[in-house]
Amino acid sequence: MKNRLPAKSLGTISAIIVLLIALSMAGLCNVNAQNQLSVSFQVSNDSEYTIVAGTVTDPANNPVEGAAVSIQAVDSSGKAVHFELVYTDGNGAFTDKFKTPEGVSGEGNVFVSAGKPGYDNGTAQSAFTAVPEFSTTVVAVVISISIAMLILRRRTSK
Amino acid sequence: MFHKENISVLSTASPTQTADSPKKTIAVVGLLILFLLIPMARPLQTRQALFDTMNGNFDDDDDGRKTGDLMLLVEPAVVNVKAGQKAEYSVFVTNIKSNHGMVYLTVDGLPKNSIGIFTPNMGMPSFLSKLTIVTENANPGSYELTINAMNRKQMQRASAALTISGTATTSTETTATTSTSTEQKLKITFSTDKLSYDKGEPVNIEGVVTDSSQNAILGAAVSIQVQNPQGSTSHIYQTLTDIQGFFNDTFTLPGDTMDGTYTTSISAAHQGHTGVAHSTFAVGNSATPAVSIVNMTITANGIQATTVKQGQEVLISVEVLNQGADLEKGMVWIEIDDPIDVPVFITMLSTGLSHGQVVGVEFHFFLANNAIVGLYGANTYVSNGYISEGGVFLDKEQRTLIVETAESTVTTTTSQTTTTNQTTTTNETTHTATTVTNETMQTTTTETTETSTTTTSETANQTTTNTTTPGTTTETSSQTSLTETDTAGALSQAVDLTIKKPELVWRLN
Repeated sequence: MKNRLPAKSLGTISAIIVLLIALSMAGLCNVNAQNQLSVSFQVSNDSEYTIVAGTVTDPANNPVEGAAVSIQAVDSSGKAVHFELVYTDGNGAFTDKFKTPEGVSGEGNVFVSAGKPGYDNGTAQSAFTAVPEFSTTVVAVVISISIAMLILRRRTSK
Repeated sequence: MFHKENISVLSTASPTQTADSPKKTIAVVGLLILFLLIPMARPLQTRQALFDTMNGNFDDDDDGRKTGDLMLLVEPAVVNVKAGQKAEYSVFVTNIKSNHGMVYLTVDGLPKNSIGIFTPNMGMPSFLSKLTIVTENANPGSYELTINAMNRKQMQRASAALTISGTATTSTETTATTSTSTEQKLKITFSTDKLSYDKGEPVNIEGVVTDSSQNAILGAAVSIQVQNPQGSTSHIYQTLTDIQGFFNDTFTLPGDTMDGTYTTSISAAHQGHTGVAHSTFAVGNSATPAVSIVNMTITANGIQATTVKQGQEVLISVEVLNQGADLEKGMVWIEIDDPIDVPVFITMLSTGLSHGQVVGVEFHFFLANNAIVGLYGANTYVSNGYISEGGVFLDKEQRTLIVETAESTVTTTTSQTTTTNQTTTTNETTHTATTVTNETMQTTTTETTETSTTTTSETANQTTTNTTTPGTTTETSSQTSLTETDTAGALSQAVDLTIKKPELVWRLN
């Protein structure tokens, strides 16, 4: 009698534990999902800068103010070309603009990670095309060559 | 608006009141005048509202700052420069009597379109700072400057003169510099008196609001919010900056407040311009890292510098403190942008950061011989991993660096010391500008990068490694450890990573 009870109890306890683990795991996932920040952003270029603009929202799609938004841009080979830390405003919006180092061109990636106490971090990624930067030397050489070619053309046409 | 409303009330009410009881009307008018005069008579006490959701108390600390406790020396008293040159003043701050913590520096009266840079802009007395004024685009003339040193208990002012002769320069570099300087964002410099608190302890937050030229902003609306580790607001306070751009707030942590990392967010607004700043502090045993950059200095030729010359080696030292849980994947990042925002130096390194430890990091690089002249922005970050892997930056610090041509000189005339301290007693300094102390424990680091494109080598006895990239020469040197190939046409790096235990750590900048 004394031996049966513990065995029964053990079985019940095991079942309860399994059930609790399953529930807690499911619950945990839900909790995470409930607290997960969402980040959406777009990358655009003007004549000089690459512009990152986006929003951070909670699972109910409400804008999140004061979220820390970490931004890292990498070039086509994966090298870091820019990073920045900005914060969302009252509309959950954030912006950043940057230039890439000289010699960087082509397509790269922008990684964004948003965090705030009480939430799980949200991440997003988007491709961007670097606005090429030229050194003053390169610009001077290009201008010199252009002028020289113009002079040559004029002489040839004469 | 407020005045108009009162006037209209008087104009409609006065005829009947005058007929019935003139004494009553006079009394009402007298009370209204008194009501209007009270705030004018106390311009420094500008607190608009205070609501402490943590303890539910209303607080109304009196400013009452003493001027006799603090000594402020500015030298030289007069600086003459030609337009486009920079003017430099040495600023020395020391306590006469008791120490009341961090002292902040601001300046008033800068010429329009000039930029003032304090290096450092805050410190624990006694400390020496340098005020560098970039006069590009400033109109010639004579200017009276007022240098302010303050904290919540002390305040002192000193005068200095600046004379600019000639005409403003209009070089390409000047234009680039101006484009940076005219960005009218408010700058908030603040600190908490500690980085780690026990429950029930008072927390003092203080700082200054300046414009991008370092001019103190009077009457900026400052909003302070403290969030607990769960993201709930545990403290809110609103105030206005005083004539020195200063603000402060003190609240007490409840005895039953939760352990963890608290986030302080401060926003400032003034005449359509805004600024934000953030920092963290730990309460009790934090389950998450509470990381702060406690020091960031720029040195050239072995001395702390604001100005460096083309082709010169620059050393940027960063100290990071973790008051929370151990941080395994800590990373220190640095980006230096030239006056037209093009990065000239980008690199990062990874390091563990245990609870209570300070990690010191040094980045070396050489400016190119043809580096653009003007203001450079040096930004340092600490993260808990790669951003591409979901990591986030935990703290950020910014510094401004002036790059000038190798031939540049400063014209300084008159060396008369200006002191505003009324007392001439012997100055016994009891506190020094403390950051970290104690022994160096070890030097360890591993270096990785965002992708596998960057190589890393760890060499125990390595001393120097040179890398040359087009247009830029770089050198790395370190006592121990790592080298990394350059990133994106920028520069290579050198890192000295020393881990120390703090005896007493104050947030310097």
